[in-house]
Amino acid sequence: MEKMLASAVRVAAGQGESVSDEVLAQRLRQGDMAAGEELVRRYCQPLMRYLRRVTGSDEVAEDLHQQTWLSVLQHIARFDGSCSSGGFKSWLFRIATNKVTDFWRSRTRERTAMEGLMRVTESAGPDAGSGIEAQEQIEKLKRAIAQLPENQREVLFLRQYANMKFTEIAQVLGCPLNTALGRMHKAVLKLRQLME
Amino acid sequence: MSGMLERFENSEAVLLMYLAGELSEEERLTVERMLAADASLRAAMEELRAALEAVSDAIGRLDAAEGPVPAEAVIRRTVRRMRQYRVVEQPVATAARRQFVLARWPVWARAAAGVAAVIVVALGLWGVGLIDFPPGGHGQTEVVETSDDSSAILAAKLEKSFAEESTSLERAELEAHAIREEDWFFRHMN
Repeated sequence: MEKMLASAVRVAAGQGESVSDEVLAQRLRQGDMAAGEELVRRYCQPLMRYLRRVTGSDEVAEDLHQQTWLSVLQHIARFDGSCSSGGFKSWLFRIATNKVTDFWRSRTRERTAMEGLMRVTESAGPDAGSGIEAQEQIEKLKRAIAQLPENQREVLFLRQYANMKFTEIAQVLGCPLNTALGRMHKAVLKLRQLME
Repeated sequence: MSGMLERFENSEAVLLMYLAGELSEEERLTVERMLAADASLRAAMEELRAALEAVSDAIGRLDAAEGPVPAEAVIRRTVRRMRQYRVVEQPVATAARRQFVLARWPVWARAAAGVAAVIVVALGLWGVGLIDFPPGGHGQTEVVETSDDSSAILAAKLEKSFAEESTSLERAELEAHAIREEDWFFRHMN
């Protein structure tokens, strides 16, 4: 198994193809931190954007990002790429979503929601290059996102940033498929209504 | 909804799955037949598609306006913490694994192993003469005689001392209470 894996990596490297997440995860499990760094690099943008949108804070997002990767290290031995539905990406976003849930639990929802809303409304003014109307739209969208319930935001942004299937999202959130679909539908309609 | 699509609670769920391309081939064909036959369902589907695109575009614009995540700095800090975790927390993880391996043994096996170890050690010590067993066994037992009278006298002394201590404590508490009551009375009378 190990030999097959090593040869797969060599072949991939020799042909200039990108190594799959599962192969990198296997190498990380064996203590190869370069593989871990490659995974962090690969998912930095979508994972950080997801965490930033769900928590409404850059600082909290980065803290949860680090916590997520520490959990990956801690539990990498349990990850089985061949069985885990949705592969490494689903597993990673499941861990991140659990971190977000822990974060919400550790603080009172009202306080956090208020802080998120304040951050959104106090955010930087319009860029010199962008039109006022476009900027107004963006501010309106930020406010609308802040008003969405946490569970609707999770579904919406897992879909948007992790590009996950609804069946995978339902698994990540531990809810029935119909619930995930219902949350997505409500989130989209509400956002559209609030943006108009 | 068609019988095949009964796993979905409502038409919105079916349409979302249809637009996401997550229905089975059979289900997809069923939905397309329904869309062809039902104008209101077709309108609902178009409305949902437009809403999904509008929201997705808006979030994309929001991301573009905010600029990319400062990835290099985030990656550097994250990887540094991961390396620290490898160095600092690995031994803990190893210890936890050892504990897990130990915990896989059934309780009776662990108890039996403990008893066996004690017996082996005792036999070893007995073999080299470091311990003695009771009479009838290998060694001699030294019997220490105790006087029942001296024990009784000691017990009586302890009891008396305890009773005196309790009485003096109770008395002190009663006096303190009386003083407090007196203070309260004079404060309120004045």
